[in-house]
Amino acid sequence: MDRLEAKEFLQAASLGCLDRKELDELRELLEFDSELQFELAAYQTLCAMIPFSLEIVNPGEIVKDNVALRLIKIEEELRSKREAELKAQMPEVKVEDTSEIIQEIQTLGTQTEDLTQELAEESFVQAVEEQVEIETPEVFEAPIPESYLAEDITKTEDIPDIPIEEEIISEEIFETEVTEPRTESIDEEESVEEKFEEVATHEVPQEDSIAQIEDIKYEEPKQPEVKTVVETYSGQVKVEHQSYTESKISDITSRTVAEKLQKSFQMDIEAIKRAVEKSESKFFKGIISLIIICAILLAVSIFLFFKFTADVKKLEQEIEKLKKSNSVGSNYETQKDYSSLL
Amino acid sequence: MNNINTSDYELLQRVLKRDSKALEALYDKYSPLLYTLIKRIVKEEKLAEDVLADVFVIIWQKTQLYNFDFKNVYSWIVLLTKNKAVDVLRRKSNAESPEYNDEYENNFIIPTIYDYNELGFEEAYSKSEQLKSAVSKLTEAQRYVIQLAFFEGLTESEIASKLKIPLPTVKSKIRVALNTLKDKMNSEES
Repeated sequence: MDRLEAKEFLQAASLGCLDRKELDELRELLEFDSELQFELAAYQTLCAMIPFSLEIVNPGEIVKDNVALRLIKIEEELRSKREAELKAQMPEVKVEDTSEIIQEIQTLGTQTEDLTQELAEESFVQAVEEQVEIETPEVFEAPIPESYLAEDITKTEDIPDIPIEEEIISEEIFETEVTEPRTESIDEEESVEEKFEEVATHEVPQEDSIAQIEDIKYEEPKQPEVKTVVETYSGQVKVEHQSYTESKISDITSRTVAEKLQKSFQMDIEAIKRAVEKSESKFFKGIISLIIICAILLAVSIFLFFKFTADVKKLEQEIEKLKKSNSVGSNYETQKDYSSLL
Repeated sequence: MNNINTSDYELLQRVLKRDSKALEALYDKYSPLLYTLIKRIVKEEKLAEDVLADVFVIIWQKTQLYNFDFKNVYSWIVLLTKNKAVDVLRRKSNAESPEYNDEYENNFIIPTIYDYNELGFEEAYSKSEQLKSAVSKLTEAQRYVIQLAFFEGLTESEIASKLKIPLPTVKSKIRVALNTLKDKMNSEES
């Protein structure tokens, strides 16, 4: 097709009635010929105006809704496709066997239980020792400094990192009237023996002995925040922070209890999951084995059926043959056959 | 954004950026004209509605195939609609049609427009009266040939076999009819 020939096809091309072969040839020419493009554009615009010669009719409102619905569907499909592609690109996450980890957690749990017991025992022993120490006649009660009362001492967050065992010696001298030391009529040996017995059996100390100790020690001995101040003869006041150890121990034990609970819950959930999975797999295996058995039985029965029918047919044929051979007609036929052969 | 004063070219650019409001604006503008055209070609109301929906789905999905160097959006939309409707009509009557897939749609349904002049619906509508008077001045035979080619979707050879006249005669008739229409339009404008 040359350029002049192409020009004659422009009208038909714009109307859309050009045959396929001619249209392909024209398209090849149009790619590089801007003059042809310009001429075709004029005819295309003219043809696009033709619908205005018709009487315009409005489509129903439903058509617009249909278009909107279709577009929403298309967008959803595209989204799902994209998601599927992204999923395909993501590497597969293999779940490792967690049984070993669970066992380790269990052993750690038992270890922590032991540790908490040990800590509780130690704290109790320390408390007993301190109480015994307080019972000496040199121990005096001193008022609690305002700095300690002002703040909540049980808050471990505010306490600096000081070793629990470290004794804090305060230089502050409290102006208090120190009365003469009074000795109480307590049998030290007996009380100490009782305490150690109690430690060994992990029992709560008897109320009588505690009451005796409490009478000597504090006015309100049950509060852990109360500090016992030991005034030495050198004039320095020794403050033993029991609350540090107590607070830390209580904090640790509370944490371990929470952790234990959490772990136990997790373990329970995992055990249930495993049990469900096992039961499911067993169920499916059972179904599959049943299907296989049924299929085998069916195949065997079909095989037997065909075999027996074939055997029966054979036998019938043989019977018929035998019947024929024994009959008179058959003899005649055989004779006849032989004669023809001869 | 005010879609009424926005040109079709700008609306199509926004459709390319997946702006559904722009497509809605195009629908509101074009749907009566396109529905009339489709209904004239396929002659069934329900089918015409489906084809109209198809056309706007194509516009939504294949806007990237429009060459934005050219600004004649009106011709692109109308000729796309005409091609789609004719294809539906052909498939309805002829069972041995080529497979409708993306490649077919890109090559034979979506037109290639070469017009640098911006033409939107409003400009085209303003010329509609001129076109009507120009068409009325065509001969009966010329009008019939245009009708067979544009609304019936027949090719030149099919028109020739239908009218039982030689193919060159059909070609010349089509050429003359369109040239006459063009001249009449120009004379109406002047």
